[in-house]
Amino acid sequence: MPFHPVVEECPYCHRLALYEDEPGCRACNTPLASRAPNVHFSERFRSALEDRYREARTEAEKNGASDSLAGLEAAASRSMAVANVDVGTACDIFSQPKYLYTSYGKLVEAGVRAPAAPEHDRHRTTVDGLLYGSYGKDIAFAALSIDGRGLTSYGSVHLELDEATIDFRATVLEDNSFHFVRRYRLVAGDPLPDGFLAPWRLRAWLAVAKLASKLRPDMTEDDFCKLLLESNGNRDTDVFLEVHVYGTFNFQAVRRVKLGALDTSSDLGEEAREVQRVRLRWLRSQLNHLSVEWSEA
Amino acid sequence: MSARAGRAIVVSDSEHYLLEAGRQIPPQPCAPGQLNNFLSLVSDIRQLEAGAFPFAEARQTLERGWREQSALDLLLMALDGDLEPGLREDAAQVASRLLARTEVCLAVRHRLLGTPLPKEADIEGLPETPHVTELVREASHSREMVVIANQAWDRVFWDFGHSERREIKDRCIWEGGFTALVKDLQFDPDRHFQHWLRHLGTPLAEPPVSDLLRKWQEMAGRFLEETRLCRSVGLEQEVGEVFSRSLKQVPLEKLPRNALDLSEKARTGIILHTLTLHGADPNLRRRVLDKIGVGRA
Repeated sequence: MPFHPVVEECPYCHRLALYEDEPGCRACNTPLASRAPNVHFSERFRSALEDRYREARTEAEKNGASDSLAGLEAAASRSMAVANVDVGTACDIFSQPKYLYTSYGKLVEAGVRAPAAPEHDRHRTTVDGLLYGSYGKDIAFAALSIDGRGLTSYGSVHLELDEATIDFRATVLEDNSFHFVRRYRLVAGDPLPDGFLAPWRLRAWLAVAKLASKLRPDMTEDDFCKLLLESNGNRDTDVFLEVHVYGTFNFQAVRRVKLGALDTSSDLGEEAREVQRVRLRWLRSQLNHLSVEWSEA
Repeated sequence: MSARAGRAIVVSDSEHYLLEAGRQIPPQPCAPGQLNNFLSLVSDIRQLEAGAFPFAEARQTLERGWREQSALDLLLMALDGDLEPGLREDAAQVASRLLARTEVCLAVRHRLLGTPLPKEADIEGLPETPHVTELVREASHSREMVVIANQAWDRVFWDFGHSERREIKDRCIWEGGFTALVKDLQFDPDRHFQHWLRHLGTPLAEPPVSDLLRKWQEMAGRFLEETRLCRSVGLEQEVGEVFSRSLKQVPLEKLPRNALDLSEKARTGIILHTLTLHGADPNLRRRVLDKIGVGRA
């Protein structure tokens, strides 16, 4: 199906994503997202983060894991934000040029969807609000990944975001925000624990601070991948650093896609398997059509 | 519940449960975070009472909604001339199997007669497949009436807010209101639609919606007359374009409140009004008025 005519190239991310009559770039959401308040907020934790980072280095040296620490830091510096979705949602993202990956709060605010039942609406907005206050509703979530694989518990399609579209508006939290809020028993008005939130450019410090105690000598890139992110399909046991992207993005912010294998579990009925197979086939075709790099996960 | 995603999350006091269409296993406990992610990514959420564990009624609704949505998606895929023939054939075959269920076929028929088929739909290249071919053929033959029914709907229900208007329209499509009206416009005035109106369930049966549904029928009948009039004076294409533009480009909230009454005063009212309000080319306007024999306005 034909896409909306492109008007001009975005001066920030250089995607052809500035569409007529729209206030911001569909890929990187500038200028709306260019003064991302989450990034500004994270700067106040820089000093504590640096302390944690230095302590972690010292600990790794004591454990004889300096080389591994250097390897982890280098790998984490190259890490990317990966958002996982199911095949159906991926089909929506890549079939509708106007589809914006956005936060729940934004969808409600825009009137695209009605709020959830009050108790769940409150739960969602409470967690977002505890971290970021009133603009918590503008945050979209992803996971930090070294190899382009994200959290399969959120879907088998891994969308790797292009750094140019998010580096100025992303922050990284040491853990899943729900678990984080629960672990530190945060309630309204509490300050965030110091040194656990980093701007995108300092994500490697945060990774080192979190993971140095788990380093052993002679670790490989593959080991770092698993240390940084581990997902076996169960959200309760997912281990990862959470990326918070201020504002929205569309398919043009996706640099690479990894497609999970077809679900062949025995409990999946024949109809569902067939529908999934055709959708996945369509998705491959559409990614080729849009010149989005993809591979099997 | 989202038919598009084929998933439902049941929220009880103590637990969250995930239901997945096509998966023959009992409801699985899931993390509250799953609900939040679901709310963020899915645009067709419906909230309903799930009943008691194992939520048999909710599962049935989910399975049915998922089959209907999947059948429609795959049918539209089969109409996409940009896709490779093998994929279109595959999509048509799987859609056909889903449509073999009477209730799925009926629901997809309602959807196809509720929204005009895209102009770029490649009907000639559609693989010949049971159910799919018949449904598409009917939607294609009814396209003009579907357009008229939609234009009349937008006019009559304009005073409702965007999301409420969308919700009422979805409901009306789902309950077969568009199908009944389109069939009447095409073949047998008053028969199907009046029957449908008599058997309406809430909330469509309640005023003011029920009154507006009657007005919708009248308005669609009038639009059909105007279309025939335009055709009879040989200006079908030109005036048709003006109509089409008027609904797409002109902010309808700026129409005078008495616009509909004006059109009732004269057989040519809507044409005259549309041409005047929407800045049609003066030559075209003069030619139309000359042809239909009314004085120059």
